[in-house]
Amino acid sequence: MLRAENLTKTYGTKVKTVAVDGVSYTFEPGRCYAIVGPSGSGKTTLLYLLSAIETPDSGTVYFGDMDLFAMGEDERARFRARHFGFVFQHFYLIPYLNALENVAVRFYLKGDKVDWGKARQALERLGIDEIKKPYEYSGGQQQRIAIARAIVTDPDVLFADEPTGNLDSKNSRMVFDILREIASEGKTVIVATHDIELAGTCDTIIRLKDGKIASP
Amino acid sequence: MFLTLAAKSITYKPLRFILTILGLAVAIAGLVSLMSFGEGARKAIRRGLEAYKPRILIYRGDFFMPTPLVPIEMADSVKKLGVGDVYRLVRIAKPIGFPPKGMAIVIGMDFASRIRFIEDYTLLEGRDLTDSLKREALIGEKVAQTLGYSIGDTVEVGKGKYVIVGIIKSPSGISTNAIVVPVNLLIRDYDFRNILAVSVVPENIEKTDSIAQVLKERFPDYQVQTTQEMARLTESMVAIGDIIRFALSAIALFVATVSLFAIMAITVQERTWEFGVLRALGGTRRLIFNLVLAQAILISILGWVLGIVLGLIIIKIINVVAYQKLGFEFATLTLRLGLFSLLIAIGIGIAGGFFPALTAVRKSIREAIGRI
Repeated sequence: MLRAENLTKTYGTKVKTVAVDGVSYTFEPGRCYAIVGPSGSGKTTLLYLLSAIETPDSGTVYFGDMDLFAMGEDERARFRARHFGFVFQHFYLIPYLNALENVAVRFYLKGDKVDWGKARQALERLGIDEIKKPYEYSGGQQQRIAIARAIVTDPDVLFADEPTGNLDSKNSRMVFDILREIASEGKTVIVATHDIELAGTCDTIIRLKDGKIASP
Repeated sequence: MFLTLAAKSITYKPLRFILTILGLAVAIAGLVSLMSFGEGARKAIRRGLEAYKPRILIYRGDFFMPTPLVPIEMADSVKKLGVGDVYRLVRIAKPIGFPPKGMAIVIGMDFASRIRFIEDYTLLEGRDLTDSLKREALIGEKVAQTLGYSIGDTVEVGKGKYVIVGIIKSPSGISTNAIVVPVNLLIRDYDFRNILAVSVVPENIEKTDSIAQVLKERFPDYQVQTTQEMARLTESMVAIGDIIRFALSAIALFVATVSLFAIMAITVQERTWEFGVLRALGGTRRLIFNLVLAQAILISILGWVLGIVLGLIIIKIINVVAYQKLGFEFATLTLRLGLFSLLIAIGIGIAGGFFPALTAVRKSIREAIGRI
């Protein structure tokens, strides 16, 4: 269970912008959550705070009974490697590694022995059979490789920041189907998206406005 | 996986990678080839001293440029002390060929001494000198090659003419470049009143130092030096040469370090998002720092490998030319020099990669991911 408690994040020094304003929420395992809202509503910042990539100005995030921001930075990084997966809008696959290596790198970051078999299985599950360099795949395929990278180490929570932002409607639907399938396996999936229609396919929609949850 | 990440990332931009490695390789090759003179000199000194029979040298003037200021009678005075076998050293540098094609060293063979000659040599052709009064000569292999001399030909030394009876060589290169004639005839041909040095081979080698002390006290106006002292002196001269040569190659090494720093800084700037992603996925700052540093060190090690290959080629060329001109090879790539240059290369990697590696981990993950 992932629990946000009064999370607040402000950017800027002279002109301050409140990106996330006192957000508290509990995310249950086995469910898919879609965070929606207009541009600048704080979706990405909230996702980064929940995944402990960004540090809040106040408030904290609990995973079970563990306070993520009571940990040191390196400890938090190792925690992310063990428990969280992350999918980005721009895929962010390492260009000089092939698809298999891109997925397998997660084992290394987690501190485990690289399991090439599991990496290949993760790719095959997402329909990637041929191993090539990232630029040789279509956008949809690259995002599926990124999802394989996120789930290969069997994380408890999968975060996705606008995962369909660079995809056509067919691939976008496919990505959401995969995310829901992952949630159905008992994982917590939290997706930030501006696509209301796709968000509707998730179990819960969280609307964000000016950094605050508008309605659960 | 760490090495895969480090190795694959540096080959991502092949032209940049090749040029950086080439720059490092040239600097390392410069270092290795310059320092190889010192290593070669050390090796030659050791070889020369191993072959050098006299243990004590009595001379006047500078050790590296002794002048013939020792009276011929000095040898008899030393002999009377009964401290060992006494050898008269007469040595003259003589241009060979016309126009001169090189220098030969005319050295006297002292039949009155038990050791007869200053070093052991190998007879390649013909026979040895047998008579102190016969106008016969041995010539070094290099001299024979340069002048096209063979057994039976005549060689002119001073006012004298000598029939070549043997061709010789030695590992030190002295005999290879020498014209060896009986010392009595050599003194007569040049009307010498003085010789270069009187050398002593003690009966008991272990007493060399105490005998040298006795000779120093007995002949206070002369320099008395044991081979060990000579070795120390030459070693220190070589060491000074090493410092000068290293200082010269340091310029190229500095340029290589700055180049590597610049390339790593650009690379880190371009790959900031990648480091952000790796950290978002669970990589620690330390891991990213180590990754960037490993890339810089890997580049410098590859540069070192290529530098060693280039250095070996340069050394080979130097040695071919040196052998043609001097009759011995004086540049050597020793294991010690190889390891020293590897340390320097790793040092360049650390110096060139440290600050870019720090830059790579300074940004927050979000800031880093935002840069693409």
